Amino acid sequence: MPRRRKGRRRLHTETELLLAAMVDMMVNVLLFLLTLYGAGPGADLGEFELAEARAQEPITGDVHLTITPLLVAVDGSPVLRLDTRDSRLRLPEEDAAFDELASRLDTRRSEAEEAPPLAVEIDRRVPWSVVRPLLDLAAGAGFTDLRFTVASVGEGETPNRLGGTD
Amino acid sequence: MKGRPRLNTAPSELILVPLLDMVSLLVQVLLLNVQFGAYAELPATSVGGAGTASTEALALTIDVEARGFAVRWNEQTGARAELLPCREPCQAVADFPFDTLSALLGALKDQHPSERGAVVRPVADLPFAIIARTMDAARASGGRVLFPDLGLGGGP
Repeated sequence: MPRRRKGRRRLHTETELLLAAMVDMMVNVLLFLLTLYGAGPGADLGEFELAEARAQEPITGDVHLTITPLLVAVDGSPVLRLDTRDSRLRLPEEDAAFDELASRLDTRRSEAEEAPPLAVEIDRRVPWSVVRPLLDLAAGAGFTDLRFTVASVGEGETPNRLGGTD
Repeated sequence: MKGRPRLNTAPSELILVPLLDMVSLLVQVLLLNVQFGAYAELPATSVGGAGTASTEALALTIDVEARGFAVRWNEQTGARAELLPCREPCQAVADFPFDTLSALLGALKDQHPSERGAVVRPVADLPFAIIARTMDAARASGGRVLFPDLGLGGGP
């Protein structure tokens, strides 16, 4: 019986970096982070600054009403353009301008038996004279449970960190 | 003698470098467009009509006026009101006396610990930042829950 020669085994010295798995993981991590922190309210509706508050409650609203200094949107789709003449924000004077907004809110309201909470995202600079008629319109459509989205600044911070421009 | 050219049967290799370049570009573009931050919500119930007030015994209302806060509530001796004036020009959050408002609401909560409701009535045409901050101050202060069941609206 032939004897096998004993000796040191040769080590396999060629290493290969498996980049495909790393890329997969990187994309997953990126998507996770963007879902968690990114795409803030009204991010795709132009310049937008939320009011600041110390509230910590997570956002729960199903239907989104967004009021920026330029327009009003329902679930991210613009439905009404604000009047910005004379550098003062106003709602348009024509009643017809509100039809699309009322129709969209009615449609969203009719999708559920009970009115879901309305997540209201309002730019900090928008005056109450613009906000109030829109909230009244939403209340008329059945949305009375309002959830105002704010930028949370935590208990120890000063909410008015941006100074006196608002 | 010529024949068919031999096909290269060596294992194919995925060229990952351009893919990685594209992914890193994608990451940069997405990060540039993202708004990072923490968001929260301020719950409130829409109330309408003039003179709408809390149905609770305290009937606490906070009017946000052009000259400051007007806080109204009921006591056993009758209706009480207190005006907390703002600093001119009364157009920014910093002009309004939120610390005084929190102190007053804290004192009212001490006297009426079971009360949970209040109505915030924006009377003047002020930026929403001031309204939101008023609702925030009415709901809680210094980690203490004050009047979390808020109504919003009404007013003259």
